Amino acid sequence: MWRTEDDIQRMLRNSAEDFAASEHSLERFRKLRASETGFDPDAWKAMAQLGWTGILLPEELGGAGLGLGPALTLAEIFGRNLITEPFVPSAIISATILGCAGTRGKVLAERLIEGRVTICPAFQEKHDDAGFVQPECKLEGDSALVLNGTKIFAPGWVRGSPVLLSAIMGDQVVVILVASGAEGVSIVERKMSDGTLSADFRFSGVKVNHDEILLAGREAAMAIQLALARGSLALAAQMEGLAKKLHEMTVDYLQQREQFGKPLASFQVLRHAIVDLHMQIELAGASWRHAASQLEGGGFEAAEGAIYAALARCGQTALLLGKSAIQYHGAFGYTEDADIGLYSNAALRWASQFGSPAGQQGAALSWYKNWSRADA
Amino acid sequence: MLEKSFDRNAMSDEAFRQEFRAWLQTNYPEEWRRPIVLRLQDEDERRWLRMLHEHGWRLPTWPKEHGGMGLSLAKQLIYHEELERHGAARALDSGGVLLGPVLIKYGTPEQQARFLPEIARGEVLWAQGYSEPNAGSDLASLRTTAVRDGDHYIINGTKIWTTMVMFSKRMFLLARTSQEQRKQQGISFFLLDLDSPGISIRPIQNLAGDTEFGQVFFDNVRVPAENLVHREGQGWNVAKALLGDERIFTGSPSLSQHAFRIFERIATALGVSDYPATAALHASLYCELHDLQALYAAVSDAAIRGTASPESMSMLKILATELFQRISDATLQIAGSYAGVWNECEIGSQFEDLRKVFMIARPASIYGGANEIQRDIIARSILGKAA
Repeated sequence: MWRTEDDIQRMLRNSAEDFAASEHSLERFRKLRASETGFDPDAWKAMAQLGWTGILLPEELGGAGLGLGPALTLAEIFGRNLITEPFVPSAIISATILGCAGTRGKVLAERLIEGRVTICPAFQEKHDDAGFVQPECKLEGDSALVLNGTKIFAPGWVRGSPVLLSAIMGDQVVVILVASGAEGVSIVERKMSDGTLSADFRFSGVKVNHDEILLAGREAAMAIQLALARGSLALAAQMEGLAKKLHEMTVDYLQQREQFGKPLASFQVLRHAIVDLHMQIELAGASWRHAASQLEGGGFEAAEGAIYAALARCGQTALLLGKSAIQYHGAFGYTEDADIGLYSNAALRWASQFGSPAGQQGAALSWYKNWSRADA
Repeated sequence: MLEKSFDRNAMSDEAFRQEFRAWLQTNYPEEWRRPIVLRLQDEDERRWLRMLHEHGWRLPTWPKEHGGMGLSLAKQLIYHEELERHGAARALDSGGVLLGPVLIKYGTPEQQARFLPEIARGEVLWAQGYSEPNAGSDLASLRTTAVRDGDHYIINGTKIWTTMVMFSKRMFLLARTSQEQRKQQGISFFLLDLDSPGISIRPIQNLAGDTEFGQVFFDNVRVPAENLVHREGQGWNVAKALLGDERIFTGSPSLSQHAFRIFERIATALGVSDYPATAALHASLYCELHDLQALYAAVSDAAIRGTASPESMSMLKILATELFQRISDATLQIAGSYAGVWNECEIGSQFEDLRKVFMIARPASIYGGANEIQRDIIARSILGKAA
């Protein structure tokens, strides 16, 4: 009742729900998860035709230029339906970088908009950071530039995709584009619990051309912040979607399943548990929406604490719903046949994709301490 | 004064905020800026209400024709935010907050003319007579009776947990006028003077150490029939007039905010801020408070638009009171042996009464509809009635 959407968001919500109903099913998700690549190029093209892969890209680059709010609406619906095509990695994070890079990113942006490519964003270097910190990957040399370093858990990895990554060149941060098949790039794939692949990249003496540097210095640092901030919010929205769906599935089950001669939904202990879960989802929904409006209104510096808080809350909530859904479905919940397990597993990936909730809470507090010090 | 309050409602929200803030800075007594531990009582409460009245800040919710400010919900929210921000002491104001809206909706012109102006002027404090020893969460089971006798009703029975009753001049109460099939029926809403013959009051000390509430006994107390509000047997509906958006204020994060500041002061004063356990607790409470504020703001906006659900008010009440409790608990966890000190004491350079803060947080989840009852209300909206 308190969640509001504008006309564009309502329109997108409808078309995304139609897509989920006609082009997608949990059966499709099961097949994808079981497949080696976890990726369906036809679905990605279909999403592109609906304008979703270019939703954030500016119109000059051929995108829809719709802004963050509509993109977050989509993320929420993808979360509730387990549509795991790399929307957040490619269409939010990488697309934001391309949008900041302007004409330098134009060719790739066009291919993204057409759904002919996904772009893997590789910013994370440690097991529990989102990539907001200074990179350790190094780009060195004068005329012939050489890249060395590692990136891990790069999300939404699709074989053969180009890779966007951060590196240090001298005392500057740069964002560069590297072909994943280039000499000196080695890749370790990991199957993640949402069925997608992540990639660990090792770059050993990879040659980089000057025109592959999309952004440098302050521009690069700001683009990375914005891209990861938007990615964080989209992930948070996706997790709210997942949590809400699990809540609904559990409510349905409690209403239908009878024990002791009455529906489980009659037992106060379960009724109150459902309320407690509901309240967590409401906090999660308010938290990421607040962070999104901070980001839109005040930029990354004003929004950073709220973004971490939203990631922590949405991550915890997704995990909590995952666990609770299993418990309240009883032994049925502990079977591979039960769909809730698909969600509980996906929650494990999403809630840890940008660091852990405990670490994010700490980061939110640090931001608040610095912010109130600067404010005083 | 009326002209002044008219201007205030026409002001921009921001100008309104600045004016109220400035007024508080100039006029609010410094010794009252103890937001959790102090609740104004007796003459202090009347003094505060009079101050508000004299400066045109009294009764944000009441329409102007009854002496209120007639503020929009948006401005009411700002009004409360500024009081909270200033660290103002709590003030119960049962007459203004609870009774006034009921009388405005259901009272006769005579009742309104007699009772509303004295409330507006801050002269008369009222007590709310709802709970009984055997009618708490199950309020409709109340047994106090009112029997018609000519021009009067004769009241017998008892009311309990009646806040500030010792300092109140009058009371509004629910009493049973008939036995009906549904226990919500047959209840009527009365107004009475607490100095009427047959009333005796037993003060009760609470766990925080304050004597704020009491039990009231009615022994053949005669109440003029004109003091019945609305119709006989309609008391339950009359009392429910207060279950709208104004409940949002019971879900305000302000007590949690003040408690959070105490937590931070204690952590600093005791030099434990950087202990890993304290830091983790601090971070988690910060995020809890942050998210509650976000949700409160979102529901407030919805209430201003007229789209907030009644369940969202119940939800905020639960979340706000339970977070207030969690933060006061956490403060004791980091305070070491200071957690067991009986009175206010010096911790670092601060004087704090941690036990009192902890105890004041306890009844928040009981009064105003116990949190378990609130959960029942929300559950009904999600799961339907329990079979």
